[in-house]
Amino acid sequence: MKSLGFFLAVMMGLLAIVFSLFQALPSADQLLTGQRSDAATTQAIVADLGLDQPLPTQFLLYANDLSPISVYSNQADKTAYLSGIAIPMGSVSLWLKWPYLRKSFVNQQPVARLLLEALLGTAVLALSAMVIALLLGVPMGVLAALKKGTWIDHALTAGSALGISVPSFFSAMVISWLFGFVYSQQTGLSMTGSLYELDSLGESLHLRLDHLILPAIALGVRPLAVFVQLTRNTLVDVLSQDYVRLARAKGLTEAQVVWRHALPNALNPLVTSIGGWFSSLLAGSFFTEYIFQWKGLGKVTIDALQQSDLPVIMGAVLFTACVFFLMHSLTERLYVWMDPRLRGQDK
Amino acid sequence: MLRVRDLHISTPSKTLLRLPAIDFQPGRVHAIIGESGSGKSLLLLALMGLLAPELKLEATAMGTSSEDWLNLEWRQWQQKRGKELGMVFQEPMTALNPQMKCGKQLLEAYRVHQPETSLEAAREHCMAKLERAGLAGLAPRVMDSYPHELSGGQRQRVVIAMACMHDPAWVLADEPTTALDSFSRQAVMSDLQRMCQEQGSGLIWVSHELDIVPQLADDISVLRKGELLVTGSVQEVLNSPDPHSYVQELLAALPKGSMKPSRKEELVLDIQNLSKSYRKGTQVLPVLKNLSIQVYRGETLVILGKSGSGKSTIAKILTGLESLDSGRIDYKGKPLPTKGPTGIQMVFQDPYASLNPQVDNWYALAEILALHHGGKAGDYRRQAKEAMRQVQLPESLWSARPSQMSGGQRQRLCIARALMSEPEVLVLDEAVAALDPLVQASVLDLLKALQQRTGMVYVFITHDQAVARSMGHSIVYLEEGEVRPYS
Repeated sequence: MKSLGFFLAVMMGLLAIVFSLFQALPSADQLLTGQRSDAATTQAIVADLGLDQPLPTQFLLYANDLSPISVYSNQADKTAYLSGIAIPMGSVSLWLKWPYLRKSFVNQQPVARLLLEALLGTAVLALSAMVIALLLGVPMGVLAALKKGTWIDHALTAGSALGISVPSFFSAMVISWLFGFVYSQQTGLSMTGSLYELDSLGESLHLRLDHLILPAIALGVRPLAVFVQLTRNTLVDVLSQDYVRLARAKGLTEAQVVWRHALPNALNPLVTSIGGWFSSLLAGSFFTEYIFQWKGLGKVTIDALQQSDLPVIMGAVLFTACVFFLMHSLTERLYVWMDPRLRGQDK
Repeated sequence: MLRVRDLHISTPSKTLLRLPAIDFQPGRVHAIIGESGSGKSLLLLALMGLLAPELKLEATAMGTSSEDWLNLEWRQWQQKRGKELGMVFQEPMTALNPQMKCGKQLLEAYRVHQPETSLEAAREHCMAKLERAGLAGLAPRVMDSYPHELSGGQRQRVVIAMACMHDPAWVLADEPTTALDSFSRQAVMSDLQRMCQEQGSGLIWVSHELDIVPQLADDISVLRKGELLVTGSVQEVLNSPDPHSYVQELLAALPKGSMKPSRKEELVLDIQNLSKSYRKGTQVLPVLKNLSIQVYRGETLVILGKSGSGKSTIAKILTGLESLDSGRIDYKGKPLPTKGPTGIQMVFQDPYASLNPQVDNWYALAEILALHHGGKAGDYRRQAKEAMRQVQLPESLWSARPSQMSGGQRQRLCIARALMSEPEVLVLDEAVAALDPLVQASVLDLLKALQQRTGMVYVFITHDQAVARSMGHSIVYLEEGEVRPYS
């Protein structure tokens, strides 16, 4: 309950900030109407979008569109796009509905649909990258911790330091160029592409999982490197704890000591980090998606910025905030579930 | 018999422990005494085969008459650990896996060497061990609890039950009661000793508690700075006409005797009906209940109590770090000011954590005066020098930093720092609890001397009954936030 209130407060604040920031963009009517339109057309469009209203009114109208509980006049054309239940109250109706993010200036598509379509691409990409990072990173970190001080440890630590410091746009370009161009004969992969692609006749969409490989690797490199270091460092710390010594003193084998006693206690920081990385990947990986021309939130957002497509940008920002918030509270729950010391403190 | 001959533990650059010869007799209690850093714990780890791999162990003999332990494979050690060798650690808080219920950890200890036993029988066995370890009647609840849900004494008993799980030939205990308050200390230790006796285990007991060692131990070895000073039976070592001077020194350092009641002329602190509670969610947890205490000039008031009795809350209220819910505190006849300098200063338990590691000693002292009287710290060098002299810190430490000093020197600096603003009341919260016995004795002597010279009031908070008796003009025993009679 408390976190829901907190969520609403954050969203309202964010809405206000984003709304006022984007007032600095060139006015939408010029963008929408093109050069050859007459004054009357421009007027009509501006009135339709509510752009002739004073700013506070515009803000309230937008908030009203977003709010799941909202009020509309019965004549409003907008109600055609709302999905929810209307309760008539005289000349106005009370609506219980999904948040309405309006329509793109550019192609008149509802923003919500644009974002959800893009989300699928992004989610698949983010999930794949995380799976790669976890499946490789955690075992490598465990290995480094168990072999602390040996060449294996040094090699893994140095490698992950490199992985952390290489910027993602650079590694994305290198990977795309190397495996999608130079060695494309051997790998059979292309430099760019999305999850779904039109077939050569332009009629139906095809699932192209092979397009996923390179961007997922490019995106997974940094979290992978972070997980290696994090796993190594926490595990080294946990392995020096008394309870690990006690576990050995009981006569357990090293494998039992590590799996039953050390690893479960080393997971907490890792879960925090996974939560953080996953939400930032879900918010769209701008560079990687752009470089691989992967249709996802990041690419949609960049395109919208280039075209000053205000509703899409606003929608993307709010959507991202939602994702972060959800992931954060999910991580917190997971934490409490994992650590008996935190249980029962919440209430 | 467990024999150790010419044992030598070292890092590449330094020898950490050198033992010519020690014999541990089966079924007896053998205490190993020494200050921190004397290599006591290393010996235990070596006997468990758990020395860190970067340490080098050399010896001509280590093991029983039938078996040499020096060339055991890791797997052979595994067979021994838990079965023939049980270990009890110093810190019961950290010795148990925080994410696993105690029952599961006990079962694991049993079944690792008895895999064919049924779960039910294993459970029975664990419960029986818990009962024997002094948790009679509590065993089912303890089995079903996480470590953090138990008290320190209970946790240590779980560890003891675990160490004694297979009636091992040897139980190795590394300062098993140091982390406990003096009330559970004796009880836990005598339970451990009784248990070892019943199952016929030899107990190798690392300790610095010379007050209880003579009562419980049969043999004693004394270590100092990695060297074995003396080993033998308790009578030989403690009562022989020419014992090692270090042992005598340790014995002399035990807090002894008691203070005479003071004259009670000038009332300095008058605490009336003090109450305080903390809020935890919707619960209200009372910490102090209707407490009334009077302290007179030149007097030491000892507040004695177990952990969680509310002792530290009094310290925080007196120094203005916490507010009080109801009641009043008069300081020299006037209500205690809530803001500004009050004339009450505090010395904390951990001298290392309460000093800024980046600050030179003299500056740590002088900056207090600069804060109180204005100007720069540099203007108060003379006073800083005088303060260091008062707490017997040598001038060579003038610009040293905390990491370059010993624990005792650090605590002296903390005392000097508290004295800079010339307080009339000094609150000492477990201020000597973290110090070795000899160092502890010297700091207590220093405090007594300072009090005689200045007539300062000490509010001395401790869980150590011997320290309490030797320091306090009056002793208040606190239990669950209330004053209870103490005998």
